[in-house]
Parts: sequence; C-alpha cells; structure tokens
Amino acid sequence: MDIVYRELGDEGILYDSGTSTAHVMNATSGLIWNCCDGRHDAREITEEVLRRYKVERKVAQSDVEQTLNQFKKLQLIRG
Amino acid sequence: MPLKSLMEIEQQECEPFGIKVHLKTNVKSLANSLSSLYADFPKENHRNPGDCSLDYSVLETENGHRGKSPFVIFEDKRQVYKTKDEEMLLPYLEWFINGALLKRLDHLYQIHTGMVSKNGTGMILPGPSGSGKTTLVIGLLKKGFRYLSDEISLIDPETLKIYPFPRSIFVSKKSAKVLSLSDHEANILIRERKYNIEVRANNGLVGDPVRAKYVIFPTYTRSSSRKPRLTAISKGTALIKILRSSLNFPSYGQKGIDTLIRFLEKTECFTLRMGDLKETVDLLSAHLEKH
Repeated sequence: MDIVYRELGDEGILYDSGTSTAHVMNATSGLIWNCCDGRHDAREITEEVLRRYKVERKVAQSDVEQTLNQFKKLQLIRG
Repeated sequence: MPLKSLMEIEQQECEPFGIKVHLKTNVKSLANSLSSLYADFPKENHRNPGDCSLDYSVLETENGHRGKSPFVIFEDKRQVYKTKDEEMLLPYLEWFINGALLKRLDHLYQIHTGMVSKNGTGMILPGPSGSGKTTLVIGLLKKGFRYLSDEISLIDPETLKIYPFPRSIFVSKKSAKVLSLSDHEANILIRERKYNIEVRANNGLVGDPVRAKYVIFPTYTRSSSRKPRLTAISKGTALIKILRSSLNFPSYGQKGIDTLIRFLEKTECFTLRMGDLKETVDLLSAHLEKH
C-alpha cells in the first residue's frame, strides 16, 4: 500500500496510488489518520483527539471508532 | 489517389507551443487556415519534448465523381478522416491537430475546463460536457474577459501558471440565439457554418499565461428563470471535482495531487448554479471586482 497524506487548508487529502483514489477528510480525521502509524491503538488515538479538541470523551471515542471503521472499509488500514 | 485538379498544393506551417505543424492542402477553403487557427496559441514550449513535428495533408480528390467522399485528411501519411462535406474539414483538422498537440504537452497538467482572465486574474470553469462551460465562457468574453479556452487548461506544475489553449469555439445555432451571436462583435469573430456557429477570439482578446485565483464549477439548469447562485466549497472538495475533470492524471499520479494542492492553495472555490446568462455573468464580474 502506498498512501500519502497532504494538508490543504483545514482539510486533509489522502491519495492511494495503488487504487488511484483520493479522499478528502476534515481536520479530526486527518489527526486520526496521522495516528495510524502502527504504534497507536484506538484508546491512544482517542487520547490524542482529546488533547487536541475540547470534546467529550464519549464523542471522541465514537468519532475515532467510526473513522477507523471507515478507513478499514476503504482498505486504507488493516483491522 | 488522383487529385481533383491541378490546383497548386499550398503548404502551411505554424508553431503552437513550439511544436511545428505542417499542412499541405489543395482545398481552397483551407487557405491560411493554420495561421488563422493557431495565431494566438503560446509560441514557446517551455519543456522541449524532443524533435517533434506534426504533418497533415487535406486533399480534394477525384473520388467525388465516382460518388465517394472526395475530401480526405491524412495525419503523418495515415488517412484519418474522409468526407463529402467540405465544411467539416476545418473542424476535423483542428480536432486532430489539437489532440496531437495535447499528447505532446503531457508535461503540462491538463484539465477539461473553460478558462478566462481579467486584469491578470485567472478563472477556471471545470466541468463535463453540457455543464455550461462554453456558454459561460462566451458570455464572459462579451463582458470583457480574455479568452484562454472553452475546453482545456494546461497547468505548468512548476510555475502553476495556466497556459491558454484558445481553440475555436463551436456552438449550436440554438445556443447562438441565447448568446445573441447573430452579428460580429468587437474582437470576436463569428462565422456561421452549416451545422453551428464558430466563435473565435481575435485581435488581442486571447489572454496570456496566468495564475488562477478562482475555480468555479458551473452547473447548467434548464430553468433559466432561476437566479444564479455562487456557493463557496472547500478546496478539498474542489480537488476531488478537478480530479474527475483531469485528462492526464494517470501519467502524473502522486505528482498530480501535489500539483493540484499547490495550485488550489491560492484559489477560492465555488459551485455556480447558472441562471439567465447575463445575470450569471454579472454575478461573476461583480464577485471578481469586489475581491
């Protein structure tokens, strides 16, 4: 898999050269993507989101879970 | 193949983007056609793709007497088109030459988009066929904008400037009525043909290479009574939409994404719901002047 992430304004662009597809994501999803480095689990990613944004833990957990599922569905990460 | 007459074969040459194009023809209606079609194209090719030249022959033969198509177009000695209708020769010749030019300009990022400029500010109008690009481009020309293309924009990945590709614009006679194109207008050449109207920007109406500040995605709706509306969209959304209109993205890949990101960083992006043409053009003009 050869996927690159670039910032554009307050959004992020993910480009998967294997499938020649590009995805746009908001800043939170971009943060979550950058944490998908094989060293952070979902709990640690949630902590990272809580450090960056003023949001309730439950909301952060739900956002992280949904975003990771979306990444898996798009085959951007392996579960 | 016997030629129809002993009329002298005229040789023509032009050099859009520094690429030599040669034409041999014995068809009178094509006299000086190359210099007319490509006079306003950029002269230089800032990254020489090598020693390339394009050779065309457009010939009228004696086949017409035998009920066959008398007019034939050759591209590099290969027959690519034949017709009984002399009026189709120029549009098809231009079509073949433009296609060959674009293949040789692959070092420029190519987007299916109209483009105009005003006071050095570029505006691109990407969209599929039928989205209203051509109509909008002509409307903007009538409002004093400069013409770069109704179909193709060429982005230099290094400077991010967009190079004009000012091909002829062909509009249906029905559209010409909407555009009020029945008469010659200053700096716009309007030529009525059998099937459509040919519009050409000339006399300095073609713009120079320019940086784009506005990226506008027009949408044509049948109901022209609706008010035109400009809606801001994010640059990420604009990037995805431009990718859908990109012509040579496969040969760019990752570099194409990086080029588009750099290109979009200094732009403002909108969707445009077109309404009455004059109101739509006024809306864009006013927006450009305000900002």
